[in-house]
Amino acid sequence: MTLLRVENLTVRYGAIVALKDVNFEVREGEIVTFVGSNGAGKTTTMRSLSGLVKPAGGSITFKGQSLGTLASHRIVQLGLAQSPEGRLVFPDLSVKENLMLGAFSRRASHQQLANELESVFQLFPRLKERLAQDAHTLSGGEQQMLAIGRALMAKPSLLLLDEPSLGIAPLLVQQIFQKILELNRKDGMTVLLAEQNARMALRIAHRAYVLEVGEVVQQGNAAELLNDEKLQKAYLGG
Amino acid sequence: MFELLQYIADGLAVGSVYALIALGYSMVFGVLQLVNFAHGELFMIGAYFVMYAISLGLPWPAALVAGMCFVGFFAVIMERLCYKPLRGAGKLAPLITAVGLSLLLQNLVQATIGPNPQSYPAKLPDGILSKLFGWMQKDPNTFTLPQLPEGLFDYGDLVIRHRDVLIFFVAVGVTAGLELFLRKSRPGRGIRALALQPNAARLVGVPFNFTISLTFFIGAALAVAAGLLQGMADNQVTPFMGISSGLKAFAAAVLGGIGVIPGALVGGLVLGIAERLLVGYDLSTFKDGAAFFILIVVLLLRPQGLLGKARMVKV
Ligand SMILES: Nc1ncnc2c1ncn2[C@@H]1O[C@H](COP(=O)(O)OP(=O)(O)OP(=O)(O)O)[C@@H](O)[C@H]1O
Ligand SMILES: [Mg+2]
Repeated sequence: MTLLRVENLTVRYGAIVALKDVNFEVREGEIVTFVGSNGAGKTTTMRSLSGLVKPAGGSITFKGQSLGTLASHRIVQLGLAQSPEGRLVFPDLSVKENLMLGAFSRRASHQQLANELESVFQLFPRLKERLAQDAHTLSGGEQQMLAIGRALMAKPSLLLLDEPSLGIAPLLVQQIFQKILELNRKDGMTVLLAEQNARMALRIAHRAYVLEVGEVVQQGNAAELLNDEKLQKAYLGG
Repeated sequence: MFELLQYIADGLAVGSVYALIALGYSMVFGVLQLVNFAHGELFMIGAYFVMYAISLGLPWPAALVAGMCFVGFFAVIMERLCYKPLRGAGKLAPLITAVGLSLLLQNLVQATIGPNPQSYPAKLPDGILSKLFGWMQKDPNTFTLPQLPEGLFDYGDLVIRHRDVLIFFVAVGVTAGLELFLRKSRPGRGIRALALQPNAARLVGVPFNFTISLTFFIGAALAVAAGLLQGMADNQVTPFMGISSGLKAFAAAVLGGIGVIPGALVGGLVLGIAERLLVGYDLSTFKDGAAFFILIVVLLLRPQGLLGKARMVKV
């Protein structure tokens, strides 16, 4: 079933056209990835889905509902949560406070939240060890885990991840991608992943879209794209 | 020695009023990185509102709540009309707007009420205000005006007025209550999240516009409380009190660490005491400049303010 459908999405920043007639969809249970280099428009796509930028044109339909004019907090309530580029943890709050803020949009009992906190810790045991530590004292990798954990606390039906590999050592990137895979395969979480690290992203994704200066130039099965010659030259280092 | 203690005690009340105003500057700055220079005028308008309401015969708690609501919503509308359209337009445009609003409000009050100081019981000025609210006036013989307590704690060389103690504890209580609200309540946590990391706050579902409005509302309501206290303590309300006390409260907010709630209290008290010391040691000419002198010295040594965290100052 289609969870998210985006049609002719166009976003402008003043005179700059950041996205032009972008079409894509995400079905329930999938990992879909957006790959593309700097300035391709991945973050802009993510930001428009979360309602942080208002599109100049096109439509976004999530669970059959149009997100066009919805404020960002309504979108979270509908079940679309994001771990943003650069992680954006709340610097002066503890790991626990950060995670609890992740559930801001929901009315859940203490018990329920405690259980969900526990399942985030199961995914990222490192966060449990750092529970009382201020978020700005975490390493980049730990902050990324925290940002993902925080998004999970919203109990989303679609999880947006914007460059979880950014500025993180390769070994840790592998670990984090392993967790994303686990989240999808075990819990059935639907994931939309934006990545410059195309190889890593294509390995765990079902389907992929290639974005170039604001337009989708290629799309298809992730495994096939991984072996695509043109793509290999452009994004996968030959 | 007792002299010094006496000046400190006297300064606490003035400083407490600065602190109450400073809280609003600090909260708005924390959330929007905007110095809302019109905040001093909200304090002034609040002082007028409650003075007239009480003089009409309203009990002071009712006058206070009505004033808080009126000025609070006034601040919310001001933000929606004047600041919201400028979001994303850089820092200069909202700053100029704030200065302009401050002058505009001051002029408007002068035009409707006149430049002369008003004191209790205040008569509504002729014109629009009398026409609108004259009918509410109760017979002045049927009620007594509320007053701050007149008593003294007398320790011989050191004399502390009950009213100063009251004002001080109001400021401390309000600051603590606000801090508690920001940490424990859901809307309060939203305000804090927005101040710490606006985009992340929106991504976890903090309602952006509502939370900003709430911040303005609370700041304005606290300024009204300050207006009531100062109006009663000095028995005087003028169109210019927003400029003098407002600017010093702004200095207090920056001094304590703008965006940090207890910082506003500390900054306010430090400035209040410093002023009293200058007056006490015959340097009252420098009283009004003192706030800024202290501010500059502290900022040179500690740019983030007394209680501020270095990272939080985003200038
Ligand atoms: N706030 C903004 N104002 C103006 N232009 C912007 C803004 N944000 C992004 N852009 C422009 O929009 C285009 C797309 O940027 P975007 O951040 O979406 O790319 P990206 O694919 O996420 O890149 P990266 O991999 O570097 O994160 C770029 O040309 C960028 O300069
Ligand atoms: Mg990006």
